[in-house]
Amino acid sequence: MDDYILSCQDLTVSFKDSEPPVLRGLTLGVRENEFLVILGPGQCGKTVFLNCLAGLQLPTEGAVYYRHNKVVGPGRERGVVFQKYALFPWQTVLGNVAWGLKSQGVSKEKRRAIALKYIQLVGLSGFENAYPQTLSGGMKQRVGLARAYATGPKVLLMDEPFGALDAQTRYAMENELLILWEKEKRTVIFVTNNIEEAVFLGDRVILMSARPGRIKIEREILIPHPRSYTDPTFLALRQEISAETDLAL
Amino acid sequence: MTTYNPKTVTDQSGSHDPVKVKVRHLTKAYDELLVLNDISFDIRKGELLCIVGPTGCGKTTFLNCLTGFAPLTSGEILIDNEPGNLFRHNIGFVFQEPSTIPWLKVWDNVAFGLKIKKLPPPEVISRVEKMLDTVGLRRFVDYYPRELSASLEQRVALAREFAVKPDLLLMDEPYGQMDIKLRYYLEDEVRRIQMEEGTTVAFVTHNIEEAVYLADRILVLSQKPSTINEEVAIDLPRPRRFDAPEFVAIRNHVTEAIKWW
Repeated sequence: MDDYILSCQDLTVSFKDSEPPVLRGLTLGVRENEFLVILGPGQCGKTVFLNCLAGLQLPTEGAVYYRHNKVVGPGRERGVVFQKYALFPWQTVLGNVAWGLKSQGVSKEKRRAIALKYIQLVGLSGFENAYPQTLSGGMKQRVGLARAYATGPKVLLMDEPFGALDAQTRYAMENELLILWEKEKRTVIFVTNNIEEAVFLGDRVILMSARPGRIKIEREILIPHPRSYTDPTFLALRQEISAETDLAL
Repeated sequence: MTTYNPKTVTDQSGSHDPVKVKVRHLTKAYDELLVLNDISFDIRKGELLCIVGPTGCGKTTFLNCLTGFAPLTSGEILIDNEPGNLFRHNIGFVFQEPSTIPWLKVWDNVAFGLKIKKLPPPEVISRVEKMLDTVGLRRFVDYYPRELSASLEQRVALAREFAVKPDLLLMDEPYGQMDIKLRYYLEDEVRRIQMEEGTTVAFVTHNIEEAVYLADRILVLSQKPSTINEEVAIDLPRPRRFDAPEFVAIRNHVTEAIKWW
């Protein structure tokens, strides 16, 4: 456990005593600056798992550790990017990105400088004063990324951030996320139901099975970046993981 | 690497299948904004046609014109050689956003179209039950749509449309939110219904792999104002494999054809 920045031990989550647990006995360690993908079909409990890591959900049994400290709630060392953006509609792009810094007590000028830096990094320069409702889905999620990065977390937890985007926009966003990550390495835990996305992004992929949610297989992805979606090695790995995935009917 | 030599389809007179949908000089503008610009093509009876194109190119607008939800600016669309009519023609429509009826439970949502068509109750029950199994909703019959995830809710809408056995099925990016395994399963289901019922299917998608997997023919639209960039006939044997070299070659070809970035 010493080598891991974030880890969990025998994590179990139940919501109803009468039903099987949503997650059962998950043990996992995440290396510093690793890009880890949690992959699973619908309803397998991957969002619940991410919420546990974020401290938004407390486990029924077992525990989550940030380095040696037990996680008992959200913390600024762990930033979250949500599937449905969760932007404040009454705040501009700049206001949204700077929001977390304000609650950390950062001065106004410094907030502005940091927020502008990340807005530029995600390619939204010129939209600082736009409101979320005037932005496309891809642009909203860029704001979500900039906001998560701006507060300086060591770990970024991303819950299907590109799930609501159309396929072509998703490809573009996957590329941009990797460019951002290369520029400013962080530990990323990325939840998705998309096998192609998992193989494209991850250093390592954890495949979960459903009811109860458990780790089914684990794969290190050694294909160098930039990866091609139609390279034979890529497709073979996709096929291999797909064969192990449960049909979530 | 396998390269793909496009067989551009310009003349359909060689086919003996009758035409189900005839689109001639279809033009659609919203005020000053020209979305579809003089588009002409046919969909043959029993054909599975996929329509792909860049984001915002008017794919959804095209389907809306087909059903009559959106009036045409000029040109015409004929279904079975007459103007499309939702009362006369048996058309099924699956929208991108799940479109269930919020005050009905899952069972009644799936039965909705069958009841409107006044099918005898035993037939309604047997079709609903069969569809519930097909899309895996058996456990959720007594749930309201708001209690379901997006993927489950979309399956309710699919079951409702499949149940009426439409002879023209229009699908607007129906599987966008689903995981790949489930998507391939439901894509096979569309194909099965198409084969069994002789359904004509127009399937709009952003996902080029999905289009190559499903289609008899792919229509590639250009950026707005949209015209047809290319038609690609796909005669790969089924079931198709996404990692087969021929499949990948067509996928790469279509990707290049819509590229705007």
